[in-house]
Amino acid sequence: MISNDISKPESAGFVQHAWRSLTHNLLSLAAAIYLVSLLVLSVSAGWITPYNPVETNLQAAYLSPSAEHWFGTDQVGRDVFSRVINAAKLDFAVAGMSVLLSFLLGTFLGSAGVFYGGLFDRVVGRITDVMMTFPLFVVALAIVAALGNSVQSIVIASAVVNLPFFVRLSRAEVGRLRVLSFVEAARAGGNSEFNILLKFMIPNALPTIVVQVSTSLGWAILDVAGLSFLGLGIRPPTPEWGIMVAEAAASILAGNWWLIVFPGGALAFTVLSFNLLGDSLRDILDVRFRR
Amino acid sequence: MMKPLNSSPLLEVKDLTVTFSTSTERVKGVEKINLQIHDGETLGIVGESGSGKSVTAYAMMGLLARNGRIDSGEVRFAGQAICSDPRALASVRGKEVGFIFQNPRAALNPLIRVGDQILDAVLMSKRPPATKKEARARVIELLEMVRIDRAMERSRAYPHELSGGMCQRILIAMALASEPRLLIADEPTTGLDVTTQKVIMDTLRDLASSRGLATLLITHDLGLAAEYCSRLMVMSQGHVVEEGDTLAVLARPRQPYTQRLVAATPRIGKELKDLLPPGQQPPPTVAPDQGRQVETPALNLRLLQVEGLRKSFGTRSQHRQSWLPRWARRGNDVCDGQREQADALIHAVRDVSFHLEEGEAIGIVGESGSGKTTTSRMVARLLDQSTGSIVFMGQDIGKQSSRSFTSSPMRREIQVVFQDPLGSLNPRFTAYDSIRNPLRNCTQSLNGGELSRDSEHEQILAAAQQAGLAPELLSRFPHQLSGGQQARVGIARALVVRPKLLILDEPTSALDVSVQAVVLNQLDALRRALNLTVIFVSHDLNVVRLMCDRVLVMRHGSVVESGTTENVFTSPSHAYTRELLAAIPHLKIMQEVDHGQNSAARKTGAFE
Amino acid sequence: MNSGISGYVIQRLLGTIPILIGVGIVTFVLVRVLPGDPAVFYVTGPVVTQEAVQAVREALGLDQPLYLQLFHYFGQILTGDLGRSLTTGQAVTVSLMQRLPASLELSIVAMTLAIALSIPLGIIAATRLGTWSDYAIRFAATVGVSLPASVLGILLILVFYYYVGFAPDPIGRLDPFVATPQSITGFLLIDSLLAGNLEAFRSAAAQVALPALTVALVVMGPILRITRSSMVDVLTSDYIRTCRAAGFNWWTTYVRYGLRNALLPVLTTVGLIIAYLIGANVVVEKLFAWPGVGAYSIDALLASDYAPVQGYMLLMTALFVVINTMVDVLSALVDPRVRAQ
Repeated sequence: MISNDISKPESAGFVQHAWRSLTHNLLSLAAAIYLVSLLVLSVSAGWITPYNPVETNLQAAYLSPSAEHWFGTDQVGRDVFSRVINAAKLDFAVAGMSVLLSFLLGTFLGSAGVFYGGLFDRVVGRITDVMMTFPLFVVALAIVAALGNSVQSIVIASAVVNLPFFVRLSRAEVGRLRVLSFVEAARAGGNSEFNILLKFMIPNALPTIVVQVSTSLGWAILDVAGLSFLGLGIRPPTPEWGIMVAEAAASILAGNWWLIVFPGGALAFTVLSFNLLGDSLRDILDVRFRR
Repeated sequence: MMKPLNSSPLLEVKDLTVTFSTSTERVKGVEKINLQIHDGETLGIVGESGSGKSVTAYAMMGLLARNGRIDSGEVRFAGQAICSDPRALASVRGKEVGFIFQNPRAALNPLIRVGDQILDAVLMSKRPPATKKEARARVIELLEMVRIDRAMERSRAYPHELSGGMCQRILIAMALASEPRLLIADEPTTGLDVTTQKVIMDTLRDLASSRGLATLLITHDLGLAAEYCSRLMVMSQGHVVEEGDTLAVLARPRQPYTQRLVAATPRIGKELKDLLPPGQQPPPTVAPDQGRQVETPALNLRLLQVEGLRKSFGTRSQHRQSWLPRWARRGNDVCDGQREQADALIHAVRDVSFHLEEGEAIGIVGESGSGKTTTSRMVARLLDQSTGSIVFMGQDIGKQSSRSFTSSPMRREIQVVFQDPLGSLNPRFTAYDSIRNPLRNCTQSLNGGELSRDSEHEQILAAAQQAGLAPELLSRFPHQLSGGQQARVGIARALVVRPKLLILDEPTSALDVSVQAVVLNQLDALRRALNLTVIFVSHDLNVVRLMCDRVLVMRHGSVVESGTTENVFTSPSHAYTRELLAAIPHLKIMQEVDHGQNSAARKTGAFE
Repeated sequence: MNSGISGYVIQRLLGTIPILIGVGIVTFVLVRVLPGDPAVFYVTGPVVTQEAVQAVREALGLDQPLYLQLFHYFGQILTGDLGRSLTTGQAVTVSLMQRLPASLELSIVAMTLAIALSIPLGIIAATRLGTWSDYAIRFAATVGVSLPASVLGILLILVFYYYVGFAPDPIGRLDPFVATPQSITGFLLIDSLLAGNLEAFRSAAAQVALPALTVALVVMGPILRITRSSMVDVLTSDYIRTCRAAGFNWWTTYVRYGLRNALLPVLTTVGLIIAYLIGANVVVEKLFAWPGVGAYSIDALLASDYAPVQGYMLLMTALFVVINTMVDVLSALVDPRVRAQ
């Protein structure tokens, strides 16, 4: 005779499954470790960074990396290491905020649209179509122009740019699932529409959408850094990767390699890690890959 | 046909072993396969899914997928070794051996006119015509040969503009362009309707016999192979099980596997229990249901009365009309495309009326697009009808929309077993969860209360047992179960709420025949033990005959004939029913054996 | 069938008109909600008086009802009048047209480079599925989409200008000591050849190399990925199996029956990639002091000078729409299933 706990078999294997998936793909494991440690470092930046990220010291300008200044110093003698770590906090926060916005709004609009159909769905679908006829950079530029040159505008611009991807993805996912026969079977089994959405659709759409969240986080960081490189949104002297890259550009002809390698490397590795992680997240979350 | 004893075979395969590499290991595809095909002969390779029948054919002609490899063995065509010699293979493949495939539309290039694809085959043939003009004439000739009328016009069509059956004929024309000596047909009619299947197979047979072409037919359908092949080779799990003349293999199968396969193939004159392997009993009669008293079947108690059921379409796919360009719509296209596909599965239904007495089983048969599934969906309240009434247990449930019916107390009384065993299960539910879900919902809507955990658990186990699902499988996810086990979860899920009316929508069409035999027997036993009323939807007349008391034959959304199973099958009144019956391959050759009229003189199969 | 194709082309081209109108309305609305009163900027002089501002408003037509302003705006667009830059005082149309060839030259060279590199690599990856070269190419594509254009450009300058000394000063389109060829097309690479000025051609090519490489590397990733995946789809497709079974030779099987099908999704992706290209272009123009439209509009935006921004948005979106419509038409010519829709 089998006991009652037969109904809850899935939670036990999840951690092992996730670990197996990650270790199976060493690159993704490295990406995860990098992101987690950067996040921890940046959150605790106030305690661990040796210098004030905005404090200038003109005597110590353009110092190459040393034991004192691990990543060297910039044109006004600020410690590059302290700035890189502090910048991570801001970039993560801005990117996370904007992806959260586009994820929540996008998946809601997309899945609700397909689920209830009709005019609402058509309007949602067509709005994303219209958005796609604009080059995304132009959209971002327009938003910054309209809302003013501020951090909030950058968050919104990046959220709006990512929004159509979430709308379309959730439309495609829910649309794909809705026509599968297990949803029809759920209806025959007396599940309410809400239950179908909650127990049958969302859990099955989640892996794909989480992958998009990871990829979008990478994009959002690129967007934020790109815009601040151009002088939009976040302004100097705030430590931010895009700003640091722009400042490095000004003195690159003098060959101060550390000014670009460290902030640029942190930026590129972060985006790369989100991209790599996205690919294995799909395996981790997909129950079908579980043995 | 007598073959000279010393003639060398046209194609000879010796000890062929094929392996496939997966991400972790090498797995065996087929092992030590031996086969011979002589000029003008028709050999059928029969086997269930995973038997290695297609792998054998692909390996012979060097068409294995990238991860496949021939480990050992020899393939000779007309005495020449082709396995290890790419040159020799190139001189044979497409020149001396033609190939046709399953899923014909995908086997043609979507961007090229079908006539041009045949033209390329003509130009690449053994003896290409000297001029382009001659080559074009040859294309038309080939098209006419495969009985395509308006050949000129059809040659200018693209694959997506033609039906599946038409595409298969185009492929046959391509394969025959080079006047090959051997034609390999890999499941050439799987997925096509039976009437189309008959036309294709008859064309193939006539072409082969008129030009002395040897044929290798690969199929899962024993009936089809028996009807069109003179010799059979039975494969299972990568091995050849048995080989011999068709009649000999069918009438006196030596191996237990073949015996089971022959027995499991439905045919006229056989009862449901005959499908089970010799010696195996029908599934034990289901333990009396504790929850509900089995009522003594009251005769003429009308359970369901369907009157003038219709499904029609207004202006469809308005969501596709957009002034926005295609490129901007790309992402949304996916969604719209899926919806269109879903819409395409709903067919028009015109004025369907029928009734069901309690405990009766009715079959709805028809080909794709006949509206049989659409009808069953409307009765199951999964789809809204346009007009018509559905009186169930004295109540017109047709007045309730399909959406509001989910919360109706009547919901549990009508349950469905779906066609696709895997697709109809939530990938994130274990078998146990899948069975529990409807039980919870329906008890809630019935008395608003919850079932005690123990009683719920007991009922789930009972339903699993009824469906023949071992309790230790209940903790598995759908992808961890076999096709037959998935089907049983679907059955248990429908039974757990103790419905009165069970709608079976092609419940076994995705299963191998041996599994089908067991599942059908189980369903029949359940139906009798629980006094279930059944609507059985199927394209397979053989199966319907075994399962149902009465039959509705549908075509293009209308019922063309209805009556008792006996009457419809023995004296069909409508021409379409007769055509349908004539088209099913069902071991006709075995009827004689079954009737003890076996004569050794009639040794050859069809193709004569 | 031919009439079907030309009908399709006409239908597609007509289809862009409402989009372009929509684009015009959006940019107009944006300008209305922009912060600040353009009139204030126009008023020069030591004291900004209410009267002076009012006068400027009237002169600019800002006191009229919105729909009239919109009407007026469309009239201006049709006559090629995109207003004046407040900072330079020049007509925006003139400035944009002066700078557009520089941006186009950069984009075209970059796109050509990206396609020339990524399609062969994608095909190699697809034909060697699962081998180390496939993994390496896929990883490179992921790295490509992860690198910001700014960082990439600076690193290229660091390596090729500072360390190797291969590249010229990363400033502008032409060595300042080289005589500029007479402007005919506006594309320096073409104009210098037309003038027979090889020195100018060499200089222009050397100047465009690094910025174009930067943009190319940024847009390569997506093209590489789609080439690989569509090539894999084609190679494992049933119709290629049919070709092999029918004994078609290598050329017919893979080039005539395979390549066209595989490149169709690549074509549409290239069209959409232009959205990324535009963004990368702006960054690269700023970084390499490239006198293009992107840098121009960013400078204007930072100076709260909105007419050039508006003109730039209009121009880029129109280009994007027109190019993608052309891609649509092209794929309809190749794919009969598209025409059937």
